[in-house]
Amino acid sequence: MMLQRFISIIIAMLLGGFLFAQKCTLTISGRILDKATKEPLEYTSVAFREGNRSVIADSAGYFRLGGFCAGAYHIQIYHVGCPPGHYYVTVSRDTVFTFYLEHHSQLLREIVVEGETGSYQESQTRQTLTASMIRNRSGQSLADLVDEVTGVRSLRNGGGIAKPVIHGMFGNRVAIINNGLLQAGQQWGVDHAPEIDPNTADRITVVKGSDAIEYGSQALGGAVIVEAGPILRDPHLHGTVGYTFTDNGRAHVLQARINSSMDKFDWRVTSSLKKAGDQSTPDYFLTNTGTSEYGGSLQTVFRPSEHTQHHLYYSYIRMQPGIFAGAHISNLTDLEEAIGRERPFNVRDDFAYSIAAPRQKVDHHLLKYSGKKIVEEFAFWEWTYGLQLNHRQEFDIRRGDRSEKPALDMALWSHALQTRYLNDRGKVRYKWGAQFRWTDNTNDAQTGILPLIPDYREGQAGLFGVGQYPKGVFTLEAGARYDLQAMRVWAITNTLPREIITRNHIMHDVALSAGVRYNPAADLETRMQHVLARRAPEANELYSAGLHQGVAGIEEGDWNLRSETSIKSMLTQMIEVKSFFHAEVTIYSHLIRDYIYLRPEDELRLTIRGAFPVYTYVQEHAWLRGVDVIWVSDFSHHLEWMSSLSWIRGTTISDQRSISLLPPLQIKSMISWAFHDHRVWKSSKVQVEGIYHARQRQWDVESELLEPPDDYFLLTLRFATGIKIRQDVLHFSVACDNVLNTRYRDYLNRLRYFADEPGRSVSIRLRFDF
Amino acid sequence: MKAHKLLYILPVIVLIAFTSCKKDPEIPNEEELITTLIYTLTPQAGGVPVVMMFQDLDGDGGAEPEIMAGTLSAGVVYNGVIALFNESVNPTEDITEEVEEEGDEHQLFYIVSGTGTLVQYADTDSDGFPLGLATTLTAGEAATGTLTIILRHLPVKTATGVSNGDITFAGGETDIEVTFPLTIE
Repeated sequence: MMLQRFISIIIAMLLGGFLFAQKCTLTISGRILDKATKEPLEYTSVAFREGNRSVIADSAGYFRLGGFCAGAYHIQIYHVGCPPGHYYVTVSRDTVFTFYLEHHSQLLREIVVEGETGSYQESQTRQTLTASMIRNRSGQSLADLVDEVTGVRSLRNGGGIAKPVIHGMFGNRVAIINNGLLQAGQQWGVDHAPEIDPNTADRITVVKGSDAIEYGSQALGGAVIVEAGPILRDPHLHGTVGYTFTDNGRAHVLQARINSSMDKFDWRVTSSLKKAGDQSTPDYFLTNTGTSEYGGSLQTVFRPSEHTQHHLYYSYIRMQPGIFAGAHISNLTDLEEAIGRERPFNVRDDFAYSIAAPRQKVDHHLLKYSGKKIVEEFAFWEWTYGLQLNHRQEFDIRRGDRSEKPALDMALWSHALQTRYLNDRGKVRYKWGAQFRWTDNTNDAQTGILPLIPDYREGQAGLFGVGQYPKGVFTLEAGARYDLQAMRVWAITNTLPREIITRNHIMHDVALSAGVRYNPAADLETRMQHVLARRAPEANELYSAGLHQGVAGIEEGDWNLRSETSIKSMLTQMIEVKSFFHAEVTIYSHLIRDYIYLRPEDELRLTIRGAFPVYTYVQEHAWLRGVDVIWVSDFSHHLEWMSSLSWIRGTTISDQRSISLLPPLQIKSMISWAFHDHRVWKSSKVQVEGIYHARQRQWDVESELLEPPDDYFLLTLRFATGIKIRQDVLHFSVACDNVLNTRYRDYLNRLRYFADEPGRSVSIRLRFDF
Repeated sequence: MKAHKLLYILPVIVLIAFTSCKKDPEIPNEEELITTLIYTLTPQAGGVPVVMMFQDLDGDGGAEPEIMAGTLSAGVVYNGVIALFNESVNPTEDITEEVEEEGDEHQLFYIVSGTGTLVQYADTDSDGFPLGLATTLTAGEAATGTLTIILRHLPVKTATGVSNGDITFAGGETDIEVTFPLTIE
């Protein structure tokens, strides 16, 4: 429907060029529908900026207003409980439009990947965070944002470093797709956050099923797809300027976006700046947990014809998080001493913005060119070249003024060449594509320390195809993928004399998928998907060698590891009883043959710094299963109630031992009240949210240093409103997290051994859209 | 059949060609590594010094460290001197100097168990706090036990007990922690 509107606008614009009739007798009429349910939104206000006119739609969502001159109009649409919709249209004769507004919980429904046109719906379960949700949570990291989605959590290393966990999978098993490219960073590290600035994104989609067919083995546990949205074809300069202040950590975030469109050329520039200091628990400051971040992007679209598009995109981000000073331990004795202390070591009594070692400094550049040719109305070719450079430096407290010298310094270059074809019409809808990726990881020897993972080069070629066959109330889907991967590693021995050994790894992997969607009525839908995928072990799993400071353990890879074989099956049932409730239940099972994980060995290794536990990468068969439930009730346009639950359990098959770092049960409930629009106050809303996190009862005594922390309950309050200033709106919101100032520790935070989580925090957000 | 094989091998060759011609990595100069700790105990009244040594030439991984312990005489007072080396580089680097220069950022702790042996500081840093490179050791009664030597980087020297060699509230991070078997005859 997006495309249809797009096309109708384009047609209107084209016609506008030919006609010069300036009689102001034209009529603009149309209808406003809910984007998710396609149901009319009644009594919606439609305001035309030019001429300052407005009209209220009737109970069936229809509106009509006459007396327009031919020309271009900015339209704003307001409906209680929805973020306002902005449109730019050109009219040259009487015109009928259909506008779609995002109403209530956008988190709820599978939303079609827009820009890829109408009807290609995946059988997997995906949930999308829209632009308005991303803007309303400005200043938060990517992991914090997707944490909102049921079944998704984040793995943390203090406040500033977090990575998404989808159905218990993370790191090498969750692909982050940054504007169509597989994010090429050091994603294996549990303390490595994805290098993405959410301010550049207009849409973040979480694929909870496996997306291994299109994105390869890295997506076998799920994917987070971050995209910059299409640029509104409006010749005026439009944009957003936002500022966020968070009192806990005294964080300041400044964000700006500007875009415009010319005849055949669209552009958008974004930039953001973040500075945060030490966060604090209810009792003490978490010294050295500040972060400093800046980034920006440039997006351009050139359209030589209506059927051809050339996109050029560049983004850059620098992240400089500090690592909590009380978590820096140097051997097992220190660790035992630091664990479970009332007040951690090395915490200062006062707040500071300064960040000292241990800290990280990461730069990520992404340059992408992609071309798109619309072959027919519902089919297109797309070809892409992407270049990424990820430069990661980690600094430790070192002797002899070496703290300014990185202890780990890696540059990862990645080139990607890919093409795909999508046909979205006809008896069988299909897409297929080919991908080639080349990666080069180089350690800088200036660190004076043996590298944690070796230098390597990797080439990967993949071919995939997915087809969909709609037949009545059923839609059948099947896909396949083949990958060939060659890796060459240059490893330094840990025995004397130091030598370089090289080794080649060649791996063939396949993936297969089958799915069905059963859609007997608009308010009933069943989706089922099975994906079989194989994942070749990554360099860290094969070759890790050395001491991991944060966990006081020696990690060792095993270059004899085989590929993992995973079968993820997922069943989703959606039921809707009109104007009463909407519910969605997902049950999944994830079987992984030869699951690769870090297992603590019985031995302690003696070094001059004391004894360290040794962890080795081993393989065992594992089974993960879980349930996600979402329930939404719209009692009226004002009152909405949403609840969700997510539960997961994972064990090894042979001896039923629990798999570490699986999120414990989470139950969430939220009530919100949307106010009627006032002449000045628009889209005002209050929201109360309570989240209960259970204690992780399923844990393996051998692989945990400490019992998982107790359960806890967090309360959040939010208020948001838009203040109308002439024709523009100033968005203002206040949010208070952890209202009760609860002392708690989270099982998925690596700092749980050492310190409490942050206490109460108030955020104020101001945003001006023009 | 042949064509099939070619289809299989060709992409492998192409991928290898793409990945192979990379420069060998540079082996880092591990200048910061401490491989060797030598604790030399010379009887104050004169005599043959007792030497304790911990040596792990290849660092954290690889071969096991070598530990050499000595036998002390009951009731004898020794002058103890610590020497630290990095023997993984050529020429051998003397880390003792580095610790001495940054004396205010370091402190050695001596933890004795089972023999009633007493270790006291015999040196200070630039601020007048104990450093511990030089010590006085008074051997206890004939027994066996252990002696643990710990080098802390950035300890809180003003914390309770730290000046007297009590590590409990010292904080900082551990650069060395070695344990020797201790025999007193």
